[in-house]
Amino acid sequence: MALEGLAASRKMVGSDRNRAVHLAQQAADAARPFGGEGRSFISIVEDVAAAAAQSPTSDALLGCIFSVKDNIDQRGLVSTCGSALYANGPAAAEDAVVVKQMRAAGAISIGKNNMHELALGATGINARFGTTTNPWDTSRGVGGSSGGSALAVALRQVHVAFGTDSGGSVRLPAAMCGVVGFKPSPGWISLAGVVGAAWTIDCVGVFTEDVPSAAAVWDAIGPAQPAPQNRAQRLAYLKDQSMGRVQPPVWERYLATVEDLRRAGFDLTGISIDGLAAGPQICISVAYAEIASLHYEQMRKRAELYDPAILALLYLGELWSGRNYVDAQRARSMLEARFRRIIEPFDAVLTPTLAVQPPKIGEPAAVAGDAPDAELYTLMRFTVTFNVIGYPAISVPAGLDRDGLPFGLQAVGKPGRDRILLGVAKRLEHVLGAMPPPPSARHPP
Amino acid sequence: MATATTLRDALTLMGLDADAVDLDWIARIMAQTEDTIAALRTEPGFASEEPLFKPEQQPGRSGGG
Repeated sequence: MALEGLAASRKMVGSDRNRAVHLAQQAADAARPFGGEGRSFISIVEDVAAAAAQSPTSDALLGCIFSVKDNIDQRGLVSTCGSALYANGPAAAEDAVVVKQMRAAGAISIGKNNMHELALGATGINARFGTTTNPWDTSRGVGGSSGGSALAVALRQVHVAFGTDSGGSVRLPAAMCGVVGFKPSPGWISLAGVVGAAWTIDCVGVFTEDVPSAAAVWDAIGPAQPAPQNRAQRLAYLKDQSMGRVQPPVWERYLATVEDLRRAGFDLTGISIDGLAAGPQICISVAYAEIASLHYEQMRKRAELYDPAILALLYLGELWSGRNYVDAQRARSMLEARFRRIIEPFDAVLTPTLAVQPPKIGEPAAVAGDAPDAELYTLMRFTVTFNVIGYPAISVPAGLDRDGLPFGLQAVGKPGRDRILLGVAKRLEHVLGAMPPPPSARHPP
Repeated sequence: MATATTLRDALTLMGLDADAVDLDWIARIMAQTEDTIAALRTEPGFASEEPLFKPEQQPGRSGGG
């Protein structure tokens, strides 16, 4: 079963809560254990009516079916974080704040999504819970670390899914699956109830099939912020590869997208974005240290339960000195000051979301000329810096490239101006056209 | 500069299983990261910018867990 869009489902449900519960139960039953096709879910709610018994305080999202990445607590389900370490742990006793907010708005959760182990990677390859596969080409991955959440939206198993993003973990899989991935300004969606978050760098983000759905979620659970002004939006776009190399089919699609926007009347200023190249190194200096502090005992007592590549990242966090950590925080502030000057005249800056097409499963993501061992940096090339400096960003689907693979356009806004960024994204989507679902999620004619 | 040998000693002292990971990979990433951030140390702003992470100024943030 593929769900209709959020607006259509809300119209169908109206104010009938029983009808919403029935729709959610159908969606839960269709998303078989382990997510069926593509392995998008780790756990599914069995009895939706019982789980949704708490009365919402509004109908703002009645008819909305959602799911959360498996590091976001949902009462009654285990938060495995995609890891053998927590696979047999106790069920969460309480909902994460974001789950409470969604329930209060009338939305119903049907389960927890697959993810890269401990959210420490961007491929979606997971030995314990199965690797998520791309709905546009099943020989390719969906990325990560919130890959199952992106896939669940792409397959129309849910209207909305939540993930976490400390280096691109919402925007990357969104781009690979052809859905919208929104990473708000840090702090505006609470991290309370997120297991193992990188303390100063993580964000809860949201996946939807289109921008109006993301805006509806933000209106329901986000804070009051300045609304978009009724004037022409000032946009800049990355005009060269100053942020790093890009695969030819991706760059070709990006430039064609910029041309489409220009022809549609957007006022676009081409810019270089120099001086931000240290973003990935800053991220790993900060995030791995912060996450390693949460794993101090487990790394020593149960090291065999970690994937060796994940354990190596946590060891990095142990090995950095206090001086390394503070250096990275200082560098972080420098980069923020640099980008503040770059974005100052504009409402948003456009870049590709990814430098590469969705990688083949088992093959490293790389652009010709990249250093060996740099797969994570290649994947995070356009996303991680905006985590490091704390700017909101959204990946909007912009059609398929010459090989039939989804392409994501990233728009970066100013901190605390998330509504304005969503307004920009809405205009972009209006011109670029709504992304169709992948063939496997289409309704029969 | 850290090497696989010095990392093995450091990890063992920390009570961690050094045989469970690729030490050469860790040494390469550490060196590359140190070099990249060291290049910023001499630039204006490194010591003077305000800290970016100020939890008390981020409304709605209630901490990770």
